[in-house]
Amino acid sequence: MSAALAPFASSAPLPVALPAALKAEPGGEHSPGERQLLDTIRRVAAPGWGSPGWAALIVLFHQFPAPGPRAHHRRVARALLDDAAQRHGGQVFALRNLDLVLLCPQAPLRAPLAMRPHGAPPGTPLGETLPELMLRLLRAETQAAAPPLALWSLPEQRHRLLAYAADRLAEVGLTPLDRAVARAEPPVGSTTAAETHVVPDLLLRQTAVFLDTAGAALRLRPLFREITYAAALQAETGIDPFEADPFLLRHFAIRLEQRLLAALPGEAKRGGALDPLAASPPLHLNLAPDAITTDAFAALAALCRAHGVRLGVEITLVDAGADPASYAAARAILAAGGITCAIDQASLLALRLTRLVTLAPDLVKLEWTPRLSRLSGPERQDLEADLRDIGPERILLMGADSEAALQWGLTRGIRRFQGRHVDAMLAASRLAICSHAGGCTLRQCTERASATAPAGRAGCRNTPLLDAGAPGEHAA
Amino acid sequence: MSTALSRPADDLAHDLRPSSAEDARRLSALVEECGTSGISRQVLLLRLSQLPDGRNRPHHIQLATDALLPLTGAARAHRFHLPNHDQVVVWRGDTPALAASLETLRHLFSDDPSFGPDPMALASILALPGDADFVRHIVADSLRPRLPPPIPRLGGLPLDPPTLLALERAIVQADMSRFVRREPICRTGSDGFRLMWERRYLSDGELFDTILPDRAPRADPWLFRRLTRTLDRRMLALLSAVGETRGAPPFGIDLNVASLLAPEFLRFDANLPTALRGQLVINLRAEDILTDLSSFCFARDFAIARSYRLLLHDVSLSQLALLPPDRLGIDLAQLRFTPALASEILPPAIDPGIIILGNADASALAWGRAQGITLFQGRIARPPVRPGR
Repeated sequence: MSAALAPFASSAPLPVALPAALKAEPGGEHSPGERQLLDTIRRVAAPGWGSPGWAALIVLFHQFPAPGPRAHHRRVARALLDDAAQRHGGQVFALRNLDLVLLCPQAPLRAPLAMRPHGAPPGTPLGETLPELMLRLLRAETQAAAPPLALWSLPEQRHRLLAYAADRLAEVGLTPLDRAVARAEPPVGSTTAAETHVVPDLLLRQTAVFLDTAGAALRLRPLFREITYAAALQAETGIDPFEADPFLLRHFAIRLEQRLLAALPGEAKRGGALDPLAASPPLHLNLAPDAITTDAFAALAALCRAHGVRLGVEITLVDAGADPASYAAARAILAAGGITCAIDQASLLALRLTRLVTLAPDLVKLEWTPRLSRLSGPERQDLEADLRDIGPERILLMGADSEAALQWGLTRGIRRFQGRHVDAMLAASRLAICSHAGGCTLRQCTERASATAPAGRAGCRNTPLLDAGAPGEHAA
Repeated sequence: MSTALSRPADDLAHDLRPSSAEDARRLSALVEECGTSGISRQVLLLRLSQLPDGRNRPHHIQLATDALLPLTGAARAHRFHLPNHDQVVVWRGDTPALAASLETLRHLFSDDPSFGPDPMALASILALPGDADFVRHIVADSLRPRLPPPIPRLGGLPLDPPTLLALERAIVQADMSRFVRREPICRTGSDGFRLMWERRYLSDGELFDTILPDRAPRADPWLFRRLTRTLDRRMLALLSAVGETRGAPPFGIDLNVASLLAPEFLRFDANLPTALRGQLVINLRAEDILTDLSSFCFARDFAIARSYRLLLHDVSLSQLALLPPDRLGIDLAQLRFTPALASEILPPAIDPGIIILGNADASALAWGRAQGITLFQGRIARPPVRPGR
């Protein structure tokens, strides 16, 4: 049994019949759960009640790291707790701070859940109890060091439970609304409206660099400049990628990619932020495999080739895995054209669950998360093996938003980085040598460099430096 | 003008059956009577509905029908013509006529075994009252309305978000029960095919042909996937109907990860009969899993805890290499057979015991067996005598 559940292990009285105090109370999402909980605990824990062997299992959703639990986390937890309550004569209390409390006899909570008859996949603990299952489900989601679960036995730990319930009651009226409910799915129509936006308004650009550690000081060598749209899409449409329908978002993104492909040749030789011929370092476009097999892409590739300009394409793991035949066709076109093929959005989970090397990309863009540096021994060994399989020279650490990210990558031989920390380093370098940077802040310079629309670049009086891949490439 | 030999099987079968709906009712009554009285009866089930294309011509059906004639002379013999063309003979006690009928059936399609039905799947021997649930299931299945096969689409406009919305509203209100289809998953062995479970699904092609004939919903793969969530909800609603899962044999359903975590599934799970717990397979698709790996892991662990088996549905060999089942933590994978696959081999790292070879025909069967695969879905994997036990 996990250390987090240790208090529970210390007491093992036999189960007793359901007390009337529990039977009498109705439960439900819309009932005043805090008051019911406190009243019920007081009755159950009253002197002379004489029914030991109960426990409170509390799912501490309010402790979930930002942006909080998703709606399905709470739904599933509620279903599991309701099932236990129904089977064993307990009750579930749903609190306004999103926490769920199960009051139930202890014995069933200590018994293994039903076994699956056909064998469990590797890594699935057999014979786990409900608290252990909840802990495993939620710990994987929160990736938090502290377990989002409490298990207190009654009557031994009634004071802790009473204090907890009293605190929750005191919070009523002060707690935020249920975020899981508030983050509703956006209407389909919002994506339709977004399609009318001018393309540059929905785009951002971000430079990726090679971090040269050969000399005494770190040197940044720009590799490419990616045209992205996720953040701008969210800002313009109000769609939260975290909660929105991912299929709808993917549809919209592909429509946007098609519009971008159609627009880019027209930007050639205009010297704007989206000029594919002026781009130094080369542009990286996010495209679905099907877009790469179109005439529009062939025309853009031919234009770049004719002017000796390199180009790169980033394909999401989802797109590559959804239609491997299209991916293979696209990969062949890119290879024949000498165009870099990167697999985008390779998360830690993606490394764990898939074999990315089978896609044979030129570059894998691994998403940085602080969790990478907090892995347990076996997890770390698995990750290191995956990184070796891919080869650190083919890995770019994306979302590198801190010094810790760079350090983590550098110690594993990764030299390619992209993210807010890199943006800031580049902006600082520009500001250091820019003769027009009088009142410019680091943030302003960073944001202007990421903008593709003229409005976003307004205020900069040295756009050639802003557009240069690295300060050293352009005279101030 | 059509001749007898070129007429569709439906026409001739209609001629052959006297009153199929009435027969279905009579057979159901007899099954109940056996259960009540405890009197044993033998059953021969002739699944003419499962004859492959090219083998369901009128003369094939006539010959198969004639093969049952000896059995009709057995003690207390009753013959039933079910609405889907299946035929059932029920009798009491042992009879040498059974061997004669089976022998005739065995040789009926032996001229070219590659294209003939599996004799073991074509004719099944059952016993009442022990197999009452399975016979009830066969009768219920025969009563489901059959739609004509969809007309192949030559094109059509892809969906757009407003049309998608309208379509979702239409699906929510439509009677979906007539679009429910079943597809057997069989294990092959020395004694032929044995039904392991059935995939229950909504035939989206037939649905779209009916309510949106001028569109090609699959042309936009991501809007189509969004649409499948609505189909998931409807399928779960159908399965949650009273009596739908009581006594049902093992089955599988297609779901999105989000649907597995939706209120509709949680209600379905809460009401699942105990006998079916551990017997259901959830079919998940690669693109859906990859779209939100975090939700997939959560849903996977939840489903495992509730004793469902998870299947990676309809993947190619390259998808299987990208998404190895042991890494994903799922139980099964259905590999789509194509002629090109015949020149490939199953990667040694993949356990053939967890692979279902889908879209299986004779060449798929040969290839699959050579790889050590024993589970098949497709035209050649025809239903079994009874669910595997």
